[in-house]
Amino acid sequence: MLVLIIEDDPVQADLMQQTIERELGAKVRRIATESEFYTRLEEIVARRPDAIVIDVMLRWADPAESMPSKPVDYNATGGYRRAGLRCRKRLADHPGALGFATLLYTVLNREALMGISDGEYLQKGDGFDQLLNRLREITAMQPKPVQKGTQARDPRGS
Amino acid sequence: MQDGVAGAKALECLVQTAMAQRELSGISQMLRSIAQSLDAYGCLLWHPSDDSDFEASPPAGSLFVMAHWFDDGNASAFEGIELSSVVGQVAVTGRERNMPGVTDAADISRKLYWWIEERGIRCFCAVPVTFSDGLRGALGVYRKRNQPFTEPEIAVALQLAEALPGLYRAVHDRVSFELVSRIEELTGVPVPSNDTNVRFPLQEICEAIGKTFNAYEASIFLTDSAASPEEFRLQATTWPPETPLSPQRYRLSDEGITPWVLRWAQAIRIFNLGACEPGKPIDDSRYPDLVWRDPLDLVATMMHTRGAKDRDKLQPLSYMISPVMEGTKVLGAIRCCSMLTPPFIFASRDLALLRVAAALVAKFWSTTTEIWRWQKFVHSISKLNQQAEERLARVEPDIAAIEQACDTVEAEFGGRQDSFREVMQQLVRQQRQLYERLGTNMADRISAQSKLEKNLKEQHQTYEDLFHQIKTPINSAFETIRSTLQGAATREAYRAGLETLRSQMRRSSRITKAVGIFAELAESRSIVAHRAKLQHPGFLRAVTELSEDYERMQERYRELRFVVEPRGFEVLKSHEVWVDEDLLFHALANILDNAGKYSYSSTKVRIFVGLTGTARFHISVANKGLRILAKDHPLLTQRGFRSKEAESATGEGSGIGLWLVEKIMEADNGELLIIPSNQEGETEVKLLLRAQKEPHAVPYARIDH
Repeated sequence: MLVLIIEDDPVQADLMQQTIERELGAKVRRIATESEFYTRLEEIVARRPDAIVIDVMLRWADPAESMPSKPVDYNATGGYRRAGLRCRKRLADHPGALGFATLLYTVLNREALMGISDGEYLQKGDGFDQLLNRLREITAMQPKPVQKGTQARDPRGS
Repeated sequence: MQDGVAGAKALECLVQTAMAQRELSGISQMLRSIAQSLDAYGCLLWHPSDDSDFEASPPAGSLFVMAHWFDDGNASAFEGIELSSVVGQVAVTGRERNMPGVTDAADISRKLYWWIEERGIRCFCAVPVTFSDGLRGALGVYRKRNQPFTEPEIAVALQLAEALPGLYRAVHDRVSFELVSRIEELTGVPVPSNDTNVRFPLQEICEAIGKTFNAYEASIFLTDSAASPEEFRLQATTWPPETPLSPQRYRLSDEGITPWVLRWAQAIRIFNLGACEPGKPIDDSRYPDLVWRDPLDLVATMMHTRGAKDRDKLQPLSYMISPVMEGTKVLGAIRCCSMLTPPFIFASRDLALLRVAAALVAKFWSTTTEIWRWQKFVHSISKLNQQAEERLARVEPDIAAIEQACDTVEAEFGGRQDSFREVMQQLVRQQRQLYERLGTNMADRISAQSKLEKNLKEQHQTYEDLFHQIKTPINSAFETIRSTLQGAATREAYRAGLETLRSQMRRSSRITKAVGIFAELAESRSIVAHRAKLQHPGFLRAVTELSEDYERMQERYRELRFVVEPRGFEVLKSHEVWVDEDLLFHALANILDNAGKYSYSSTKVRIFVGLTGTARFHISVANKGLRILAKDHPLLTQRGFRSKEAESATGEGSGIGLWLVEKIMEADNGELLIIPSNQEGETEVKLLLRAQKEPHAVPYARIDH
């Protein structure tokens, strides 16, 4: 199981990684900024993570002498306050990312995020219990990969 | 004695008759009374023509019939008769003449003779009459039977002829009074609000004037306030409607009697217009350049009306016009043309009466037009206000269109130099000021509203950010505690867990403190500083702890280090720095937070303290990261400001950090100093505080040593 965490708070990200790895036995990969997400989008799609946990408020990039340019509609689409929504959309628009399970994990109220289904939203609470439960649900719903050499059977039996 | 009684009775009868008259034509009834008292067929009252001069040698002029009465009701029409005739001589000499037989009298006017023959008159007498304006005329009393007038009858005739002008004047006065009363009554009604309504009193006045003088035409021309002040429009007339009066408008430059009166503001009375030649001057000595054009074909009309066969047989065609004046300004003219019944001629007192009527009309018209102007002006102002109201409703602060409308109103009403113009200009000026204030206020309101909306949005975002900032460490704290409790097996692991927890608490504390200060400042309350002296080892330890916590909060891969340089802290041993430590640490935490956010990876954030050149205590944070551009420098302490580059590196934060730091430093009598990036790209932020050399520093130092 592979979980991708898009979270710019290092302490939070550290804890999430430790907890998910410990509790779910999953591998965790981390992305800290929005621009990093875009840069690594193809890699993410190729790795096909089982779940992608996205914080909504994200910084665009780490401070550097030369920083990547922001999208033209950056401010019009909410700036850093809605960066996670842009990431989610970019992923949804990617033809190779069809069926990816994404979870917006944020302190923001549900009302602040229009057009997001209940299944995709989880408000940050006190600790990661709920997050772990949701990740368990998501991974349980994923179809098991068919083992090479085995044949699918009719569940009704023959 | 008997003759005296007859005279008194005749006089009494004449007085009673006069007293019963309500019209100027009552003069005929007075002549009836005289004729009946003298047992005569009828009377003719002769009036001298306007050009008469009895003192000239030979006397000049002629006599016209002013009034008449005959018992068979037959009217008479006479052109002027010669002064050399019997009647003319009576007027000129003032001596009566008794004419017992007229058939062979050679000195009877030839013009009169045919009439005497036609009527079968056998004898007559003529007695002098002195009219109230001093003009001399004659009264002719005629009998059909052959019974010459006796001496006593002549005496009675003289007596009655002497009384006649005075009594007629009384009638004239009464009629004048009634006309004036009627006009006052008509002009005393509430002023009409529009053009149609004003025609009613003017037409009534016209009718009253026409009736008083029994004139063939009475017309009122007045300037139309809406048009040029040099144009006078027909407002009312008694001219028969079958053939419309023409022209209906006069300009000052037009030719003719009415324009002449309007131009020269002088009243005119023409004794006999019928004697004037159209197209030629009427009376150059009295009315220079006055030319009659007869556009109404008045002579032909009057000949037709009065049944005169030719122009010479036409009774005097009297004509009078009075200008309607307001002060020295001509508002118009009232004209009257030819009396249809006796008295056939307009006397000077008739013109005087017309001038009184004109004065009343002037008063009425000037008041009315003034009120019209005011009404129009009020309407214009009302329209302006309506425009302003519409703009107000649409929240449009641009009042250029209203300014233009104000210009139009001023141009429309500012033509004449009078008190109205002054008042109007003052009012328009006030309206302009009002509109300007309205526009400015509206613009201010829009700006304020926009600011308020922006503030509200910013405030909402600030709260959202603060919520995010505080919730994240709390969330992490819970998980840290859980994982520490569940997973820490060693003392070091516990310590690491607790240090992580302290970092998270540090963040939470900074945010809660910010919320508290923000709330106080939002209510315009100032921050209260509770100062205490900074102690050297304690302060160094606290700063070190703080910097460790902020280092711990950073991404490991960024390899950012927070380094406290301890040497400068020594200064606290020799200097007193009084400060609210809690607030100071909050300020420092904000600066470290910024340094952590905006520093490049693998760099150092230096924290050092010391004394400045001006002996102030400074706590400085230097870092190498996103540059502060000179243009952004003045904006850095503005609430919500972030430079373009800083925006890219911000994932959370309310943008109030430096704003709060500045407020805190102000409360602590300190200063926030931001030194833009130097050539090495290092930015320095300093918190400056007052420092005082410790008074006992040296002695204590000596003791310590």
